[in-house]
Amino acid sequence: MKKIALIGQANTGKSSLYNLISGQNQPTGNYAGITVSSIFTLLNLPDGTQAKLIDFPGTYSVFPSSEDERVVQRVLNDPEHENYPDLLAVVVNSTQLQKSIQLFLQLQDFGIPMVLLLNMSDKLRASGKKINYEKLQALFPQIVLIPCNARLQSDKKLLLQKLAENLTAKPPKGLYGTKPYSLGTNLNQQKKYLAFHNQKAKEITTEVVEELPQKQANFTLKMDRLFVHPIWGYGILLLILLGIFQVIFSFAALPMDLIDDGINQLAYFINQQLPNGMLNQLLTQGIIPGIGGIVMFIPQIALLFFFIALLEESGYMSRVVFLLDRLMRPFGLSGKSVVPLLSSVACAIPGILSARTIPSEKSRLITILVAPFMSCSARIPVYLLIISLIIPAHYIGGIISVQAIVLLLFYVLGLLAALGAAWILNKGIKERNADFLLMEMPNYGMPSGKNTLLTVWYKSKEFIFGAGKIILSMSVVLWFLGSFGPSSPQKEAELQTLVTTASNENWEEEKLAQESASVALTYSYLGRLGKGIEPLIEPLGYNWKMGIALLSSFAAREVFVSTLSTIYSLDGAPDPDESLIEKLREDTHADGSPVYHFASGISLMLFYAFAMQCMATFAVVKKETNSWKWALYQLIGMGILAYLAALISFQLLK
Amino acid sequence: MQEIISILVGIWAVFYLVKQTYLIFNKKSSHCSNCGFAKPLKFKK
Repeated sequence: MKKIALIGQANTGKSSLYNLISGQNQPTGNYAGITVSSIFTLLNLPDGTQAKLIDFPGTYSVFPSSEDERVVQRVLNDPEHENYPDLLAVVVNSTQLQKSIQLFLQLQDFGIPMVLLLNMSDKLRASGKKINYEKLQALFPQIVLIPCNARLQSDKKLLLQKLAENLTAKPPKGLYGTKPYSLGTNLNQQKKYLAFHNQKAKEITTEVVEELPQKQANFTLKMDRLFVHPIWGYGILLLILLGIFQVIFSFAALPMDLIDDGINQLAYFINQQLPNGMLNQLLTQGIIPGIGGIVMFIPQIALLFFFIALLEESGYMSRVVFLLDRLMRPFGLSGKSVVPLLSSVACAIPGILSARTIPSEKSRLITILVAPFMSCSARIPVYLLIISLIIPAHYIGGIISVQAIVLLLFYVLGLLAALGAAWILNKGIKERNADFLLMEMPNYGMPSGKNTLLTVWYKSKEFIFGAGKIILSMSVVLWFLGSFGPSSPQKEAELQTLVTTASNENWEEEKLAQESASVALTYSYLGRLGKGIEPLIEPLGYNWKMGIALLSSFAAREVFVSTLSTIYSLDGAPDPDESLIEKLREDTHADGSPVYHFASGISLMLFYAFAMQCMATFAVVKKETNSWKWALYQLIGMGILAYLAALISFQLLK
Repeated sequence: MQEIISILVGIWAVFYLVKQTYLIFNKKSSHCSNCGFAKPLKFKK
């Protein structure tokens, strides 16, 4: 089967083109390092044949400086490699033509048939310039130029057609006359090679890029004076985040309540319709509350992803990368750590994988170790649930939501923890970091509605279904553990006492059933396990039910909410009028004091801010560092920090 | 009948959790199913 390789520098829109051509929805972004490993798909070409389309990581030169660039080198230097391409589709960012042409000239030396995909020409025009395609074509008569726009669905047909036509094109002749790998590791030869192509690219760019007659005011430059300002830049970033969180709390409350209500009604309906029995209880007290506990956070998560996608699409996210780079430098983090840490705000795993772009091993290790401190999206359900429980929905001056401020503080806390940990880790490292962040700032632009909505859809789906089966299976296991237990004379005695009290005090049948279920849960396997760890978590302000949720959420942080939802449903028959938040609010300790209050809530959020509660991240750290040692250090170190922060905060605030 | 279905679901859940744990640590986690042919890093000792 023929193979087509999409190759280009980072931030040329390669992933967007890959999505357009393949019809897939791989994550894209307008800052470097989104694709850190190769992905591929099978294409049905217009001539009826099939080809393998491979999206390579962004690369700046044929001489790699990081692991992701090495992927490209490994394949192109080995004609026997299973992914050695029959056609190189070199993606060019029209707004950064010189750098793209530089790579294109180097790739030409490999003698593989090529096409040149000229992307983002609309953005170049917005900055008052255009490429003279006739001149460019005249310089490379043997290469097919395809001006395209990754955002235009109409370009898909043209691209497929051109790719199919050129699969058997004549290989181009390089300008240098030597294949890059024949230079070996001779640095002087490599420098000479790069300098030659750099000069050529400069000449070509000067020749083919023309100023548009009606030069537009440089909007981007004016905006950047404000957005990357050393003081205002950070202020604006915090305001934008606060605005987003405020919208999340204000506008997502209604759909969240509706979903919560719908889930309660569904559990009640099934409970009424199915004959009483084990499956009825498994569904209504285990599976539905467990899944529902996460589903009810979809509106907030989707809103957050929507705003992040808007920021990426508009070009602002690249400015955030720049701002963070300036902030992180004094803490010893390398410039190239910024993208991995920023990616970790969605999920630490792609963040840790993208640390492969960092050439210095020690910088890479530090980045991997501190990345899980950044507030990932799995923490959002925990934060939102606890904030809704313990922080009143007040507005300062009638405008600024206190709940949004608390959420913002926890995001900032995650960043500060990452910086602090990096600073400490860096203390013991003698090597001076010499990596600098080299990135192209895209022009500001109108976000594409389709791209934004696709991103929201893709990320929300990933959030729900990524951990969906784990939540489902965990809910089932928790239900079994919470519904059965060893025989116990104590339990029988307590149940007997309840019956006597109910009879003496004329309890309603429903109250007796609920109290009995509560006793049964306490003596179940789950209750016994929870009671077993209670002495360890009691000083943090947690009860045994929270302890179980802490344990189960090591599978994934969001499992915390679904576990609480399942455990609190085991306390009695489904009640269509009582939401999870209400159940938590009404839960009390033996002395009648509420379980969820300001001190225990803050303690719990601090625990989640610092603890490494994610099995998949642990496994990825082990894989990426190729060592159990670092993964265990990270797990234990973050665990101790989380425990101490939770303990101190609870003891001070209670 | 309810008991049989519930027990089967329970067996599936345990099996699924064990399988996922194995896959996460020994092969590929669902999070990095796009890894292609990129290899994890080898840190120098």
